[in-house]
Amino acid sequence: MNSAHLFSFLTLLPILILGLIPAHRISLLRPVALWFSIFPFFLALLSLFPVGNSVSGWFSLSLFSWIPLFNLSHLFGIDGVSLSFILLSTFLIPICFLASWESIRYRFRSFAILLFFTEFCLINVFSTLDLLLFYIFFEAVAIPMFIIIGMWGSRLRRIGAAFRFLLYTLLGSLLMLIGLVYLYFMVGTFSLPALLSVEFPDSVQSFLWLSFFCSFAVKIPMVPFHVWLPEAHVEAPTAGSVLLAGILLKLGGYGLFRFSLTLFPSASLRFAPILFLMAVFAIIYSSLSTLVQVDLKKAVAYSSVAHMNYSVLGLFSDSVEGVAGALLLMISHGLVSSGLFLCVGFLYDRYGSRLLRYYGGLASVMPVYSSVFLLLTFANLSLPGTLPFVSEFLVLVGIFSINTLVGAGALFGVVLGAAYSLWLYGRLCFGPVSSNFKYFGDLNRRELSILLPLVSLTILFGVKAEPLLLLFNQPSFVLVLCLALNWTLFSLYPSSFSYYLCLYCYYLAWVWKKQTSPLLL
Amino acid sequence: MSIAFSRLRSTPTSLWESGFNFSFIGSIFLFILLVSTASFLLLFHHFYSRDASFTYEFPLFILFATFGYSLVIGCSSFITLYLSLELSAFCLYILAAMRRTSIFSTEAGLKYFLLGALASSFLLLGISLLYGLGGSVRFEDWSILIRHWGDLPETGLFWLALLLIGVGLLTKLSVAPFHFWVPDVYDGAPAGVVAYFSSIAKIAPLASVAQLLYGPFFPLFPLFSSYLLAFGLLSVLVGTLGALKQQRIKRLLAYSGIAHSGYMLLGVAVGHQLGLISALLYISIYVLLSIDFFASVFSLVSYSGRKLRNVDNLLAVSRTSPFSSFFLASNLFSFAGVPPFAGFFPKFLILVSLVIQSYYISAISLVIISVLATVYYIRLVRVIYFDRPMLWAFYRPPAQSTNFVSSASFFGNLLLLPLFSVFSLFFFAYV
Repeated sequence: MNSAHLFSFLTLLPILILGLIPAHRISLLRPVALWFSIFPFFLALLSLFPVGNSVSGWFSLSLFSWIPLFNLSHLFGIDGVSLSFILLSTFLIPICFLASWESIRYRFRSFAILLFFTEFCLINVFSTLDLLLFYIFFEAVAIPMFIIIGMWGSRLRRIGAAFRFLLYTLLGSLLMLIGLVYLYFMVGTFSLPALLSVEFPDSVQSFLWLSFFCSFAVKIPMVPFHVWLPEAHVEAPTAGSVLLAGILLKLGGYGLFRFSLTLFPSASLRFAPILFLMAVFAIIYSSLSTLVQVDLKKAVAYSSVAHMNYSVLGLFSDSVEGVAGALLLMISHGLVSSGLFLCVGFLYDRYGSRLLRYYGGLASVMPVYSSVFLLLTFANLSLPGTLPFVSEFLVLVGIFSINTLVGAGALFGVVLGAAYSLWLYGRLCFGPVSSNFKYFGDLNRRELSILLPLVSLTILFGVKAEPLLLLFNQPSFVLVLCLALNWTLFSLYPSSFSYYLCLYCYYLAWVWKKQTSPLLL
Repeated sequence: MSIAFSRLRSTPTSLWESGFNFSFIGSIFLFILLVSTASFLLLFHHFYSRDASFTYEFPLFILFATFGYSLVIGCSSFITLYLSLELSAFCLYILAAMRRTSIFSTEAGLKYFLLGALASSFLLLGISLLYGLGGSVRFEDWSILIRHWGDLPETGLFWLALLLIGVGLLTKLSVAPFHFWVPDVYDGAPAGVVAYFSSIAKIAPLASVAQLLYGPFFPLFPLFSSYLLAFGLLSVLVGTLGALKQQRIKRLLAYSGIAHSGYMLLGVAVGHQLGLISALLYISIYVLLSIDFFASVFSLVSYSGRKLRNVDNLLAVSRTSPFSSFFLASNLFSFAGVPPFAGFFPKFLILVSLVIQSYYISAISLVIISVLATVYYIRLVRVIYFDRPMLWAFYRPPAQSTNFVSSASFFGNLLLLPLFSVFSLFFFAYV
């Protein structure tokens, strides 16, 4: 038990405290919830400090045994990737509170408790190295989101959307559970470091990879499994959409990175072509469907499907640039799409509609809103100077290094992305001022202060992405190295510097063999 | 074979000699039985304290039934098994017809009596056939006898006897092909009695099935296990499909109880130590959960004095009594086996034991059925939390004591039960 464990259980404390405050005192509940949600973010920032002097890429590994008989242990490990996702989730929770400051009045206390429970699950899901615990928290995240969509959604359709969300997630992850059970039956442990030292036979790898993929593909979502996503986004309240797009979609990519690729390297390489096909199809399909959407939220939702499928391309591109780019893309999408959902939510708070055809000419009546929305739109179409550009560029570099055709498809998706983003923006903000609304109000201070950090971070990291890339360098490098040498990834857990040096020598040899120069090292 | 028979006949033993013998597993079952009965009585004594027809007899019959069940767990011969099962069964017949003024309750009692008596007579016929064949009703003798057979017994009467005993016990456990009495009886009987039926009344039949399987009939285990697994899977399927469309809460609980007995039977019949452990874990968690579920439903009595009968009556409960509905919802998620709740762990262990014994198809179908099962549990959550009523519904806030017990059981659900499970697993590993 050390600080990492304490950190992971920390968000249970505000749940207790909020439970003690009477439910009708909303004016007291709001600031308490906000301040308690800001606190974990700074704690997560503090844990950035060991990054610089950690050689292995892993810091704060710690363990306490949970059920020793079954080899179940609560193993925590945070590397750059998990830490950046933890930072993202702890960053978005206060934003969710601020965004629902006015709009959520109905049972605010339950709402706050559910958000904190979500945060608790997210921190744990990103920091645990035990597969069963990962599964438990992966599944547990769906429950508060289900209730948030069902209770605070706007229309009657919210119930169907919540059901669809929960059942898709459950079906996918129960198939993963079968894989987990089989894994446990074969190896006898759920701990990732131990599993990494096991080399599975090929047929077993394929079976396990597919069963894991079922649950991750629902979360990403890949195209045949994406049906729940637009509905859930449209029906959820703004905070729910932000959480869903900002973090929950990343669980799939994170799972692929952390478990599928590392545990089953040869199956990952074997299934990569099918995955490329699915991802390119998803990119083009969802970009085209974004073009025809009449609902603002649905448009943003479909565009996030496209972006998440870019990250799948990068993850399986078998190159350091691609993997690091994919991870970066997930972070940047977490910032940009939450910003877009917030913008749509602010419009909905004002005018009570998300339908595109009621709007028009917002640029002349809501100038601040339109400029912030413009920056976010630029980021969404990955204009140079914004963070998504860096990440998509890296993904494209990675994907072009192994398959030109897939790269071309992905590039076509980029063009389509520019088309739908600009078209959406044009219809919303330009043209004649809509006659449907009599009163217009620009962003108030609260709303601006929510959006500004998102926009400024997007541009700041877009100009200088190095601090973020520093976090992803080492994990993606080790991953790709081990994929290339077809190693079991025992090497992910070296504890001594000399061992790592040895790895680096292997890496240099591999680079020499492939005659490619790595961008990031 | 005949030598073995004659040897057994030559040593006459009294019928009651060592009629009871608590094995280790039996003592764990007994522990679960007694603890759950105590918590049941604590809860429902409060609920029925103002009800005239439940004043004296209710706790008395509950205690008698529990006494009978504890004898069932400890019995070591077929006759004592039958007698103690009958002792508790008679208490249950009376309990089902407890509300004398209600037609439904009387009807439920009569139905339960007829079908239960039928099952008991099957059981008794099987036992008498066994006695006729082997000359003994003691488990110990039969285990020696079967072990010395070497090859399968060629007499068909033996198999008939086993079939009859199995039918009797599985009917008591309410497993699928013998489940038809369950929804009707549950629907008519008073809710507190249904809480007893659906939870505590399942412990002892499960224990006796486990004890027969792992005791006297253990050499025949490979023959039985596939049939029992089929029954288990079938009852999971029947329970789930039956519950999907139910409008009445008690019927819904009846079908879900059938599904849960199926899970427990799977755990017992899978033939692995882990399966048995998970069945024990399953029943201990399930019993506490269903007692808590009924307690939460009970605490929601509307101002007009109407009890909750239909699922629709739960509408807007979350607004009028948030605590009870919170406990209800967490119970429902736990029934469904969604991970952070206690119901996940035993289901997971049963899956593991199925995979260990390489019943892959059963494991996969179980997983898919459990998604279906989630649908109807979540339908209740939807009615409690999501649907907004057209008319105002008023419910009395639950009494303080109910809240206390429910919250205790909620914390049990989230915190204590995993701990308890860990503890019991330790127990199994090292004893």
